[in-house]
Amino acid sequence: MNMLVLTICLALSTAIPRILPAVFISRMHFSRGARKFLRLLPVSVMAALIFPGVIQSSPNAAACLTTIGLSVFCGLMNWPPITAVLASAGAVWLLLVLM
Amino acid sequence: MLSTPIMTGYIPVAVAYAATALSTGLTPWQTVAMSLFVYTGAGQMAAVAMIGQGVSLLGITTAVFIMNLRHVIMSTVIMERLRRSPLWVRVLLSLGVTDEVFALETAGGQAKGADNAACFAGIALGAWASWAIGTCIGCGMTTFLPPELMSALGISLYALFISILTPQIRQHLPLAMVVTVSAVTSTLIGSSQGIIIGSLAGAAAGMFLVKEEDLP
Repeated sequence: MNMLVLTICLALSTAIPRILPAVFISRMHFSRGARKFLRLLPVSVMAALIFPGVIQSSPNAAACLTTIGLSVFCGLMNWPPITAVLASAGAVWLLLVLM
Repeated sequence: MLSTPIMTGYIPVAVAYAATALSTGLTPWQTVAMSLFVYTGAGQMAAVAMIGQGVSLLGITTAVFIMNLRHVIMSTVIMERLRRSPLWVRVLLSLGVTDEVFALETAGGQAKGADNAACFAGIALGAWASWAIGTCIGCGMTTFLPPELMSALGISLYALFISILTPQIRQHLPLAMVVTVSAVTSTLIGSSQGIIIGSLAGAAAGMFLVKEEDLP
C-alpha cells in the first residue's frame, strides 16, 4: 500500500464533500429523503466496519467478546471513548499475557 | 475559547487513533500526516481498520468518501451562514467542517452582529489543532509501550467505534436496526465490497425503519 497515494486520495475524498457547498452554495438543494440518507450513513458505515473487523482482528474469541462487552458497557455509561479503548486494550493485553 | 469542548473531546480520540494507526503498521509521520491533511475522525479510523484488513486503495477511498458524504449537508448549512464571505474564505473554512464543529456551530446559534466567518474560523482552527496535537501525543506515548500492548491496541479501534455507536443507539433505539442490517450484510459479503454494500444497505433500511426524530 502506497501511503502517500492513499493519503492524497483520502484527503481529496474528505475535501471534496466539504468544499462543494462552499463553491455552489446558491445552487444546492437536498430533498428530505437525501438528507435522511446522508445522516444515516455514519452509523451504518461504522456498523459495517465493526463486525467483520472485530472478528478478524481478535486473536481469539475471548478477546473479541471482551472487547465488545467492555466497549458496549463504556458506551452505555456515556463514558468518553478513550475509556473503552483503554479498558479493552488492557483486558486483551492481560488475556494475551496470561494465556 | 468556543472550541474548548471540542478540543477536550478530540485529544483523547486522536491519541487512540494514533495508537491504533501505529499498531496497524503506519509510521508516526504517516499517522500525523493523515490527521493534518485527511482530518476526519471516523474516516481515519475506518481507513486504518481497512489497511489492517488488507482492503485495496480504491476500496478504502470509496468507503471513506461515502462516510464523508454527510459533510455535504453540514457544509451546506454552515455555508448558508457564510454566504456573504468571499469565495476563498468559504473554501478555506469549509475544510474545517466536522461533525463536532457542525454541532457546536449550529447548537450555539448566532450572536447578533457577530462576524460569522471569524467565529467559525476560531472553532474550526481550534478543533483542527487539537486533532493534530492529540495525534502527536498518541505517537509519542505509544513508543514507550510494550509490543503485546501494541497488538492489543489493534482491537481497541473497534472498541472506539462501539463506544461511539452505543450511546447513539441507546438514545435512538430504532438505529439498532440500521446497525444490524449493516453488520449482517457486511459480514456476509466480506472484504471492502462488504463494507460499502453493508453501509448502503443499512442506511437504505433506515430510510424505512427510522423516523425523522430518531436520526443521530
